[in-house]
Amino acid sequence: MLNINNVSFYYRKGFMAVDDACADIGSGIYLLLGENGAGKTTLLHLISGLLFPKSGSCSLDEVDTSLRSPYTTERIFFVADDFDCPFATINELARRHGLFYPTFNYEMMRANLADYGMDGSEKLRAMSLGTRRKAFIAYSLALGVDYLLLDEPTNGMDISSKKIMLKQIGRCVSDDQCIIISTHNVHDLQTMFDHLMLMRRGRLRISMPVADILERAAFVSSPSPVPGAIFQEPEGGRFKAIIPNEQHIDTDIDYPLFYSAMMSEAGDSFIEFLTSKNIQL
Amino acid sequence: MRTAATKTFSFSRLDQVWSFYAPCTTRYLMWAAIATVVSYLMYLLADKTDVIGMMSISGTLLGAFAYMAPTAFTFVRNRSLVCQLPATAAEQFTFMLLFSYVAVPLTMAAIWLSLEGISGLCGYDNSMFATMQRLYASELDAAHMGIFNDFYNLLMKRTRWLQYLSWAMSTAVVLLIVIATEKQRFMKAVAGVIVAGVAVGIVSGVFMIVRMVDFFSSAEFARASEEDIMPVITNVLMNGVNDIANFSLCVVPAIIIICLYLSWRKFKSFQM
Repeated sequence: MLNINNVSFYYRKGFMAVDDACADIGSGIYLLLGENGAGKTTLLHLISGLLFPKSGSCSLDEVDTSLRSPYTTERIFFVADDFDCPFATINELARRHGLFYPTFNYEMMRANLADYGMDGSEKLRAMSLGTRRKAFIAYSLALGVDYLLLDEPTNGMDISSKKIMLKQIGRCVSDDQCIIISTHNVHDLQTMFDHLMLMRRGRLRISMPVADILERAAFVSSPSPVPGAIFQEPEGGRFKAIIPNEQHIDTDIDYPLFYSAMMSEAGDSFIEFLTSKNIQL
Repeated sequence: MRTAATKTFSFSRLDQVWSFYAPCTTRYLMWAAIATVVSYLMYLLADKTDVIGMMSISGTLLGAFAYMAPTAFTFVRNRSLVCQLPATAAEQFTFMLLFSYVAVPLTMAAIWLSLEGISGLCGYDNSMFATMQRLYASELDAAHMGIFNDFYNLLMKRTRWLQYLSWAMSTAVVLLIVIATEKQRFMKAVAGVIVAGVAVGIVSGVFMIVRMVDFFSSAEFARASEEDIMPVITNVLMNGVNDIANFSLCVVPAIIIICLYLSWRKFKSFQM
């Protein structure tokens, strides 16, 4: 279990990039949402040990990740938004970097690359940024680490590549693994998330399973304004609303609407509604 | 099968670290080998043609490739990959030290000695230091400064170990810069070596100036006649060489230790 315990970090005094974040992260696919500059990448850096918290700690099975011991570093891997590979090809990367990871699956990597029409021998420097990103994510998924952190993985990818990546995540990630995806492009991946984390101005406002959110709130669409809605906004001539799920209706989470609600003035009351233990449904 | 939670040093992981850095370190070793061969050929040319400048270039080339060894690691620009590597900081840093202080110098020395051996088999009896002494002595004689021959020979003999320490100091400075900086690391390393060398030179120079000022203020200088003054000065210089060698033998290792300690601390605490 990955534990984030009251973690705070600042790049310069007076500006908290991450402010007192707390979360317990188990297995599953996590979505990390937040506006630009909310602290998502900083949080991922703190989890992976690339940054040291100013206060609090991130720990994996009670081993502090900032120590960067092999116990944590071979189980957590962060894939940056900008990727600069020191090797000529993905095959060379696999040969020289993959050997550090006991769970690395070379055949899985080859299958992932084949989905994009690659075999791993292509020169990385000759690839476009998007193609390099695809190749590196294909490699990262095959590492088999317990916690894979992807920062804006779909940036620069075309539509078909995003679908392929979705398929690969479903194929490569086992039930006891965790992927945390930080992204703005929620539309591309919204069918796959088990948990939702949202950051705003450095604070981790919410970290909840999607199922728990849907147990408490329903996401509906109506031709007219919905009375009693926690939050609603017009879209395409209709009103999309979040309402208390008193009727226990099955709906899918509308991530853009959820995000808008969190960023609005109703955000605090929405969070209180979702996280309240005494909610009457 | 997962490795156990450990902070202890693992030689198998050290081997993995070597494999990780193999492309850049192998490339550097190749260039160092080429530089050694070129340097040796230039030295042979200097020996044959008595062109002292060629000898200087040869020595500079050899020294530069030796102490710039840590710049091999500047090719790995992805710091997140390095920081996340499932190897302890001690293992990675040890590899950097072994490469910079053992692999590169040993490789260059092996090649140089092999070339000397081959030359010897061809009947060419050469020794770099003997050649240097011969060339510099002839330059001093040509400049009517033959009186300084003994001084120069002592300087060469007494500072031979200092030259190795100087190389070690330059390597430590380069390693610190490569680890501590993110951009333009190669150029900064070159600048750092120059600054460090100049700084040590200035300190040594100040030391000698103080020594000479003391001498010129002394009764010994006041008593010396015109005929005796040059041998007296030479004697003072030779004593000064010993003093400055001893002084440098304290200062330079201290700089090495400080640079290596700072490199270790910086490497261990590096953040994105």
